[in-house]
Amino acid sequence: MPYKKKVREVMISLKDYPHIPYWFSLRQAVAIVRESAIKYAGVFEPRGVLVFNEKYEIVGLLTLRDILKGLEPGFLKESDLVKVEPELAVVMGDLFGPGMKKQAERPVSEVMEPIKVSVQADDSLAKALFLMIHENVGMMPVMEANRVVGMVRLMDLFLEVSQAILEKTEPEMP
Amino acid sequence: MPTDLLVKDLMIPLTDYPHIPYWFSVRQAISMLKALAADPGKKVVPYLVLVFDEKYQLLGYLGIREMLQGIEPRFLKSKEKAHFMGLEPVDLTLGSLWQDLFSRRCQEEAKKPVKEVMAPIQATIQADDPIVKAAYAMLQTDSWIIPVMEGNKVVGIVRLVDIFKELTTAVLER
Repeated sequence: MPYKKKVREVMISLKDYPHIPYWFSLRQAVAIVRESAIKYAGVFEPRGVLVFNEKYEIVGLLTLRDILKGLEPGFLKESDLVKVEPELAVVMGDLFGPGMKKQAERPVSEVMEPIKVSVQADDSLAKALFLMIHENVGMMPVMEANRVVGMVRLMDLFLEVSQAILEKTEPEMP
Repeated sequence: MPTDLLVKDLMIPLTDYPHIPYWFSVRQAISMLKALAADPGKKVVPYLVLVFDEKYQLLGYLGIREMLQGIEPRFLKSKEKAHFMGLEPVDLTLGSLWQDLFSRRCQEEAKKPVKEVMAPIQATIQADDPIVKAAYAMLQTDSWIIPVMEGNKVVGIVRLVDIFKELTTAVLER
């Protein structure tokens, strides 16, 4: 059954998933993620970049959301007023204006998020699914012997298990 | 300036994005999303389906997370919801439960109407709004897509990944 498969069978290998060292700038991260989106168009759409230290240990994940927030600190402003009337935020400052180029030189380590959860390459899809729903994440790194070997996405797991669901829920013939 | 772009410039029209009436079963929603994801000609892989009422008013959405939780409500809970069960993500006793995951019982669960498991729409955007406003709304609501309205009518969706591409173009220009 498909959900007896191991995570390594459905993950995106690290060599294909964008990853950068922590001292890279946001501009470099943007370049990497956009290049990856073009290279893998039709295969997968990267929503983040894995961040490593000098020992090639994973230190964080930089999502497209983190990049946008890092480039435009105005996006971080959150007041009740802005929540009610989002255009106020746009009026308040020239979002994505000339200041963005300066922001783009910030190191990714300043805006990345820590890894909330990871899974082992030999773990079952069911376990990966459980962890992702439990931790409310859409993707997580796959580890083997303390090294990151890939990235698994909720969509990949869904495609595997949904086949089993559809087979099992096929209406029985009278 | 990329910020001059309007939401309608990047919008995916509703006719190209999956949407279903609220009385559809979870199984039908899963089947639809799976078929679209497997379509090699599909440029954009949808991660959710929009749910409408009989008057074609937007009621909510059903993402992968909601679909899986809908058919396997026992195990696939968010951390908050699982708390009362005393479960930890690494609880090894769960190992014995893996084989029960997506057991025959989900046959019954999958017959539920999507109305029972869908999530509410947190924000919408107008087709004539600037894309920066849409990005802001998605970052505030922690979402990757946002429904696009013309007045009170849903006309499509816009994705954060497409807005990301436009907003970051200026970063790469020297």
